[in-house]
Amino acid sequence: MTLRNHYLTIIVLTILAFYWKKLDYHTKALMPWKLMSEKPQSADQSLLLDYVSANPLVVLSRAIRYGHVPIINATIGSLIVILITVFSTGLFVLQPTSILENTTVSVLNTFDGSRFNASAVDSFPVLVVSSILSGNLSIDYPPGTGVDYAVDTFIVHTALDGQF
Amino acid sequence: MVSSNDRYQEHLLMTCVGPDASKSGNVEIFQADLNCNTGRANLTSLTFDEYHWQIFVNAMDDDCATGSALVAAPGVDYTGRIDTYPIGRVILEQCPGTNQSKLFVVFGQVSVSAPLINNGIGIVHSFNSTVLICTPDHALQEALVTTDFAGTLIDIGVPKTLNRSLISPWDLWSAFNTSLVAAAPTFLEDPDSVDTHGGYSYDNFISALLATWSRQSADYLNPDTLMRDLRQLYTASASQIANRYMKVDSMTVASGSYKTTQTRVTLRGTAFAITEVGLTMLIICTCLVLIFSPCSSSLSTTATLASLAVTIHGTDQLKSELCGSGKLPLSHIRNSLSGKSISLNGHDTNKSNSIQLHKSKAIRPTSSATAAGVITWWIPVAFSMYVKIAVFTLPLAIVACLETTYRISRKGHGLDDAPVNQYWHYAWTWIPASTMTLVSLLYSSVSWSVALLEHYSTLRARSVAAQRVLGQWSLSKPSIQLSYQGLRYKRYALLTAGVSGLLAPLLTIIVSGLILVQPVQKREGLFIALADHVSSPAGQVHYRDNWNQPSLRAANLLYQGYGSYPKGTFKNFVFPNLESDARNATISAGAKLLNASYIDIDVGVIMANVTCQVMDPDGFRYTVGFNGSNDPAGFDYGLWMDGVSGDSWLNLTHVDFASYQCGIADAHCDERTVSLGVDLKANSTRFSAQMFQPMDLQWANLSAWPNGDTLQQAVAARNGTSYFNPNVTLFYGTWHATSARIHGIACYYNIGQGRVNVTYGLSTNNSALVTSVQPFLQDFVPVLNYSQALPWSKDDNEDYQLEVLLPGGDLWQTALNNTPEAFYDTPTGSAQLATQVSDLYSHYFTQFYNIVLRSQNFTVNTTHTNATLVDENWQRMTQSPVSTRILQALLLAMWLCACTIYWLFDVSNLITKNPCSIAAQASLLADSKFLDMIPEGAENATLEELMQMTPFKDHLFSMGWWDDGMGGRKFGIDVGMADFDKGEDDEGKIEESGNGRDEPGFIEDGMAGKVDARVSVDIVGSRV
Repeated sequence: MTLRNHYLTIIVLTILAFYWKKLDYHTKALMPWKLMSEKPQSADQSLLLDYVSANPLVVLSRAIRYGHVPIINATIGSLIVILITVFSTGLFVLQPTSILENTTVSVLNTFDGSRFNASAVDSFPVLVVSSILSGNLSIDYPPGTGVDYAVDTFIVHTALDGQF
Repeated sequence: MVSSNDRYQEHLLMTCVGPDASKSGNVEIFQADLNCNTGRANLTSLTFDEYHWQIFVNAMDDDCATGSALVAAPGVDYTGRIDTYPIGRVILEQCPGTNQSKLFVVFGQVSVSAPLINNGIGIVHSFNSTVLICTPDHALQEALVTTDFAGTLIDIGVPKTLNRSLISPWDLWSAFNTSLVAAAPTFLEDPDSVDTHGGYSYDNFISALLATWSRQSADYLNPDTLMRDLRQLYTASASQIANRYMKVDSMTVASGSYKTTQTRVTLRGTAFAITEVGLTMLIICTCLVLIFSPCSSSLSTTATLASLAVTIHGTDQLKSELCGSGKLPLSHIRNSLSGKSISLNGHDTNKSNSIQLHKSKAIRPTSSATAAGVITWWIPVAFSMYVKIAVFTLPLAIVACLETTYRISRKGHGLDDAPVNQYWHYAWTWIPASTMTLVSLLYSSVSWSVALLEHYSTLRARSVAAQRVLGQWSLSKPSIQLSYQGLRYKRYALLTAGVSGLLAPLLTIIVSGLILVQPVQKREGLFIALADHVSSPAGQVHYRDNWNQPSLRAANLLYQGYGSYPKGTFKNFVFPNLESDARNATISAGAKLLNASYIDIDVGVIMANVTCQVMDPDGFRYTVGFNGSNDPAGFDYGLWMDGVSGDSWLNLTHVDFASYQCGIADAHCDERTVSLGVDLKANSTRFSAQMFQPMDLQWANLSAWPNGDTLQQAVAARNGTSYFNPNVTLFYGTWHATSARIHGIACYYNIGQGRVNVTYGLSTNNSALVTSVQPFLQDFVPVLNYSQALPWSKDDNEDYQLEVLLPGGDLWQTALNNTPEAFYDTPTGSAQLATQVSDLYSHYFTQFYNIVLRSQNFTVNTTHTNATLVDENWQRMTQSPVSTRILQALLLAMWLCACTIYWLFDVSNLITKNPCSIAAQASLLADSKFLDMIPEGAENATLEELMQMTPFKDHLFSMGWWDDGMGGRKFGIDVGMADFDKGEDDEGKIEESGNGRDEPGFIEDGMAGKVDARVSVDIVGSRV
């Protein structure tokens, strides 16, 4: 489960990185043409401008110096894609999580006194209650009972793990 | 149905774990109560007989009275002294006036003095009493009930009354009373136990109250205390009765909810925050890139060499500025262009693109480091020496490192403990990911350089069509396309660069699963303190009076399958307790594992086992007769039964008994029968009888018993003979007229002493809970001479055996455990009954020994014992073998790709400058003759249209040295075949580039070019 999520996240980010790389390249390759088309530029900002081969940090500093917003965006985007790809490897972890969900319950029995036979009762009810109330034994009331109540037995239908 | 429900619940428990797990549902709830008011009582009469006082009381309220009723009959001493007796009784009274029944709960304290002789007069000195007049009640309601997943109630919402009645309140009271009577023998305050002459101070109800709350009897003179205890006992017991006897199976659906804590895959806070911020920034960057994008359709065609050639063709100024600069470094071009401003005209009006050079301010050209005449060749950073060293060594180093860490991980159950501080945990994931990203970027730069220079390398090697080199740009192509292109044109460097580019992202993907947090087992040895020790019962004297109430209750409940083993016991073992609960004990012992799963403690124990064996039903020999008649041997065993007229008798023996003899022929015994007598009740078809160590039942052969050899040794040690009398023997079965089907179970007290490994679970809230006990059986020795340390009477009187402690006072009924007797007539049933009897005795022995054999008097040497703390869920950072192997394979594959690239792709003497700027590319085209062949209007053509025009459609292009027509040489791209030499050396001599470079065989099919090294323009007819 964890590995699946790990791989899925990284794969998605890798695909994102692929497309961003293309965007980054075209932005850098066409930037000199764009600049020249807007207004006359110095040679350094036109014919000699090389954003394609320089490393990202040089590109970023040069683009900031010249105020070339598309290059700044594309380069920062490339760095971000690399960083989030690295950081996303620590994204998922198995840990206890509290879950509260509304659902339907199946009530497995009901109270019915029609077949009750008082003489068939054994020692257990008084014995267990006396033991619990005495506090000398670390035992709880049987399931579905407490000091004041007896309740129907019910089970929940949970979607956890896709089983119920 | 019950068992299937149990299984279902268990399954849910498995899937919904967690300490706070709960479920809620709107279901029926049953609640009972006693409505009580206070009354009053008068002592009406005080008499005595030989052994007892007889105390009569009249209890009353405003409209009803019990009349003079016998409340207690405590023992009397004819000494003349004043004795104070607590007395109590619950009286059910039908009140004539109201035609209503009421419970009169009378509790009092009477001080009396008896005469010196038993025919005098008793004197009442004081009488204080509390009287409660109660009526039972109960109701069926509906409410939102919250329980844990085991069904233990947590909360009940506001109830809503249902209009449905169950039984009458007095039937419920009757049931409660039945249960109370059955449980009475388990109360040490049992009235029967007070006085062997049948006297009593309380009835069962008051006994139960006193046994439950362990109060001083005078406490119940306070009506509030009495009322609170009374109501609580009744209410809780009535709930148990309703739960056990009034529920019927059904299946309905109701609304509800559940809450649980599950181990789920969750996003980690810090990593998620960083990723979230990163993605947000990426979205912002995307928006800004789209807004300020330079990628307009009119500019998109300018990125190819063909487009650039067309642009230069229309720009004479640029051509002239760059003329002859193909062989010069970029710094030279920078000098020549300095002081000029450059613009692109025509793109916004859909007219032809042309680069315009304008003279702006005069800028002094910077001096060029390289003289114009000296050729310098440019190589990309990825092909520099340092990068080559990194590319060669880094993957191999990582492969070796991965192998080393993997072996360490496998050998040491992980690389390291999972850090408590989650930020350290990030280091385990981010450092490998960063390393792989670095390798990925390094190899990507190599692939990128190949893609950048591929066209120039192709042009430098041979003449090729424009479509392949001038009309496309490899840098913009994905790795898969590069690979295909490399394969198609047999450019193996490009192929390997493409493959390397494909593999690089996989490094980051796979490394994300490299380090996993996995649970492993961790152990820690401790020397742990004990609170007490358990001595051998040999030679000790203990009996029924030494029981305490909790232990007796525990024995009863354990046999009924309910409750957990009290501290210091597990199954039939009694062992020393720890000084505190197990968790605190480990802390006191200096444990380092603070979240351990369990602790194993090696201690000495007493094993109170009772071994039972099913007797072979076919081995019984018997005779059946009527009461008063003699058996064929002349004995009348029926007479010493209860002697009830109309009963029959059964004389029996078994072939396994050593004393078995059959001397006279009979229907069921062909010899004389010397045996035991069993009373057969008139009008019955079943019989049962239990016998405690009768001399007639000396067992002959022990080898067929469970652990027969051990048992034989124990018997021999105890009796000095291999024969023994079973301690308990049960006979039961069916009978009719003169025949019977007999089953028997024989049991032997197998008390032993040895050592065990006691395991305390530490993962639950109750760390005092023992989860298992593993005996070292080879070390166990039988305990002898324990016959004076028995849970019941200290003598062998059959009247004071285990039965006096059992609910209902009946061994047989208790052993049946609510199962119909007929079930035990089968071999399976007999075996189950043997197990039940064994459990029954074992629980009583064990719980009894738990009290009487435990003491704090032990030597210094035994105050501590060895223990092993075990954490089954110790979190370790482990290295995944699958990810390791995949990463190693990827790195080696990429390393091979890099070697291939460096071997096949020669970048030396390839190009004079970094071709990534427009000026650098233009300098290679500025001197080209083919520019003159470009037709007018080509500036407006798309790239596809351009490729259909001359010279691009019908000429071959190459890059190298060309005759400049003035006796010199120029470097650039042109049609035809260039000189592929390395240029001139310092002395002006041309350096050849090696064989094969100029071979015309490289000309592709369908394209033709005149192979004339010195003719720069070579127009070929339209042969395509």
